[in-house]
Amino acid sequence: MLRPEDLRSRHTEPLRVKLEARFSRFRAGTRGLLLPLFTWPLLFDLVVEVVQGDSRGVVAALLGLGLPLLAVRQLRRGRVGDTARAAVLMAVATGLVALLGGKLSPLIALMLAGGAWLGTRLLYDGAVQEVEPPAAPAPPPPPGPLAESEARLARLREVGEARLAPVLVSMAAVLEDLSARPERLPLARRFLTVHLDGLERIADRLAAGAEPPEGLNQLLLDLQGAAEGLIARLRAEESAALDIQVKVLADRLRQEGYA
Amino acid sequence: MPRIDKTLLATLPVPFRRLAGLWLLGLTLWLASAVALFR
Repeated sequence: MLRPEDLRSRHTEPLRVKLEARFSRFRAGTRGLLLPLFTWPLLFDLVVEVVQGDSRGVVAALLGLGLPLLAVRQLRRGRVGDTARAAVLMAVATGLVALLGGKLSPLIALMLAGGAWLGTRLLYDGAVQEVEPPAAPAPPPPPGPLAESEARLARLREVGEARLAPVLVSMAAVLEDLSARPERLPLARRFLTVHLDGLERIADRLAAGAEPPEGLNQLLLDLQGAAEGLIARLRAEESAALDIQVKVLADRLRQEGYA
Repeated sequence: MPRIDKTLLATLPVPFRRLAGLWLLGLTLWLASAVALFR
């Protein structure tokens, strides 16, 4: 059995919610547009000043009409501090209009400017959800120490010389090993430079149509062997280092009486 | 993170703040404009 309250809430609540949503959308859509409406006398003033040929008055009227428009733009952007900036713009507009257009005393112009600032803050403080400006795109990460070697290797692969393929695979393995453990790079830098230089020259000549000499295959095998040897040597050094660590730790445990 | 600016006179009720702001802007900016026109 439905009670009358239930029936009423069922019919009125969605309508209320809908109306509120519509009203807040209207408020958001027209936010700030009130500000230029305060300066309507300046539209007529502009005509009067132009007719009278008073350039100071024309400037004052133009500033008085333009600055509130800028303030509206600031306000509707809705970034952090935009309400405060809009209020300052309104204060400047009011002060200039009073000083230049109204030819009032500077003190009164200052008071009017302060009033306009306070009025804008009162009208719009908290009315807009101010959001942080979007963060600047992060700069690209600096190229790694291996970036250049990797690029050269990729270029060699693009040449597509079938004879070089096994060497390139070995070189790629070296680079992979080094990128996993960059601290080994100083040991392999010279190796990388010499090998990549040599491979690039060979690839260039072959691409230019050179006849491969007899020794080329042996040289390529040597290069491949050197790359594999380097990986093996780096691993062996790691193993030796681990071996030393194990010995040191075992001695320490024995000295401390734990083993 | 969106945040609401509550720096100024946040303790006053909102409709009162808005009315006061409207009145103040009318008093200052509109008055200055009107003086510029009718001086």
